[in-house]
Amino acid sequence: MATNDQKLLTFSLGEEGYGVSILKVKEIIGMLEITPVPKTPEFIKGVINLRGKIIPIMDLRIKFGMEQQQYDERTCIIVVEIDFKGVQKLLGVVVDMVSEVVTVSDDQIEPPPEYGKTAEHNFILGIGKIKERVVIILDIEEVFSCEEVLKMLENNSQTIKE
Amino acid sequence: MFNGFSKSQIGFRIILSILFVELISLASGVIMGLNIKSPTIIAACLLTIIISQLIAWFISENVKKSVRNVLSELAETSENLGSLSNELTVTGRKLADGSTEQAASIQETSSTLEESSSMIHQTTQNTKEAEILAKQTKQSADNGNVEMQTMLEAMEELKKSSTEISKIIRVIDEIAFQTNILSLNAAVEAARAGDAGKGFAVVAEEVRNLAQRSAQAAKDTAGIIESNISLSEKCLDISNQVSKSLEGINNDTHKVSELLEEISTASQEQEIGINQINKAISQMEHVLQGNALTAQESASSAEHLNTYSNTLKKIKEELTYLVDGGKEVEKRIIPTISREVEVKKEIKSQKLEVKIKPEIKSVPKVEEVKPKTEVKQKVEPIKLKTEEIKPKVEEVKKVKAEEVKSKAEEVKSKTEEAVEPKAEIKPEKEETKVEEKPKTEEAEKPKLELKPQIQPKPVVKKPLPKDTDKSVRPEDIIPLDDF
Repeated sequence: MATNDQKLLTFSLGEEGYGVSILKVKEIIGMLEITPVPKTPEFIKGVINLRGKIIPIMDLRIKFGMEQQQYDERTCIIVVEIDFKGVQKLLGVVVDMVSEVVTVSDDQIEPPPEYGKTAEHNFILGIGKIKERVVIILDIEEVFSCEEVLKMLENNSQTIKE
Repeated sequence: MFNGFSKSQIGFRIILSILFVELISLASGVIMGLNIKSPTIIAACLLTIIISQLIAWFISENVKKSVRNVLSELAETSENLGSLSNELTVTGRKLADGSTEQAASIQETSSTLEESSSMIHQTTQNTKEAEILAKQTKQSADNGNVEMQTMLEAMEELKKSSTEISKIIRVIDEIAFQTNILSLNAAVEAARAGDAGKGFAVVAEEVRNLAQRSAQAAKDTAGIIESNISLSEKCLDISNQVSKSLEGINNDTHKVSELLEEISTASQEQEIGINQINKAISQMEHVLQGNALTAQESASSAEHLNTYSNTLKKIKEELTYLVDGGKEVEKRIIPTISREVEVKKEIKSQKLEVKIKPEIKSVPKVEEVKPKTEVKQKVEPIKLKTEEIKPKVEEVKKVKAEEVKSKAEEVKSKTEEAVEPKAEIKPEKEETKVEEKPKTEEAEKPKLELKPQIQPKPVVKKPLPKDTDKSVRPEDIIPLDDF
């Protein structure tokens, strides 16, 4: 039974609740000063300096094609670890609000809708039913598996290596 | 007596003419030297007698004519005098009645004025109290204004402190948020630690719960503080309005105070005015009492005047008798004399009544007197009148009535004594006539002055009572109008 349970960090974008596996999450931080990086796609807001580490920041709202919103005191950055060519890379994701850490069992998760699979990048792992709410469980590696991000991550890792 | 006198008058005239003829015959005898025979003398004497008688008759006729003219004038004058005195009597009565009514209304007015005076006094007192109250109200409004100002300051302070609290609450909320994130991080770390981090995960969960509770509390407090701030703002507005209202009250009470002061002074002046009016009214009352008395007196004077006019008529009758002779005239004279006595009694009784009863309330007396004058005017039988009068006089005072009687007797006795020549009557009549007018003028003066005016009456009566010896029955009375 225990193996079937997994922990999710839930957050919200607008009215919708999303969840991401807690094992992918490195850290949650409040909003910091973002340094914009030129010649990058719109959803890449820039980079931040988190305790000496340069972390690229993505805006999930823009990535999901939602209306952009002014950042406030509730806006958070979730730092996630992404496996990039066998190397763990850090990536900051801007979300409206971080909610909580929930434990969900497999029977609480429904498979994603059929049309989701037809999408170019299938980033929805399933739909979680937590209490009365619906949480969309994201595969965060899939979300940022696009070329621009990968390129940026490659550059970033090169700089780190140097 | 009159009859005898008139007969002797004729005899006297005959004797005089005989004597006159004798004288002429003597004179002719002397002239002729006694040469003429006695038959001639006798014839001459007879002729002379006849001539002299004729002359005497002519002279007497002429005298009678002129006397008759004078008599007719006299009758007219006495008639006028009578009607005038009657008018005067009526007018005097009316005047007395009017002044009595006036006195009554003045007394009513006086009492009304006293009432209103007391009312005004009350008003003055009330106004003074109201003034004091208005001043107190003003003081209270001032105090209220000052206290309101203090309250406004306190409200301002409250608002400031609320804002401060709001800031602090925001800080607490921030801390709660941070704590929440920290707890989430702890949960992440615990999850990464696997089984070893399970206990830590519970702690992280508890911390997160605390953070959320403090966040909720901060939120609630923030809401309360927000409502506090809005309420204190409302309070500030209301306090400002109250302050303005108090200012208005202050101004109004100031005005009220001023008005009340004016009312107070005005009512005080009114009180003084009313007191003056009261004094004036009491003076008027005195004057009216005097007026009533004077009117009474003038009425009685008018009655005297009536008496005098009657006297005048009697004199006229006497004269007519003297001129014409005849028994009818005699009969007419007697009743008038006894009437005079009656009038005197009436006058005396009136005086007594006036003295006994209060001055102003003399209206009923005037009414009692009225029938008497009516009786006079109608000229009813003497006996009836005297009977009517006697009880009245007795009611007033028997002693006075006796005095009146004795006086009447005195008058009678005096008239008996005074058998004076005819020639002397005329001047007396003229005197009385002359005296009458000044009396009526003097009648307006106080009572005491009336007495000397009344005294001349017996003098007037002296010539008249010549006939009083002869008793006259009521049936013999002939109305004076027959003249």
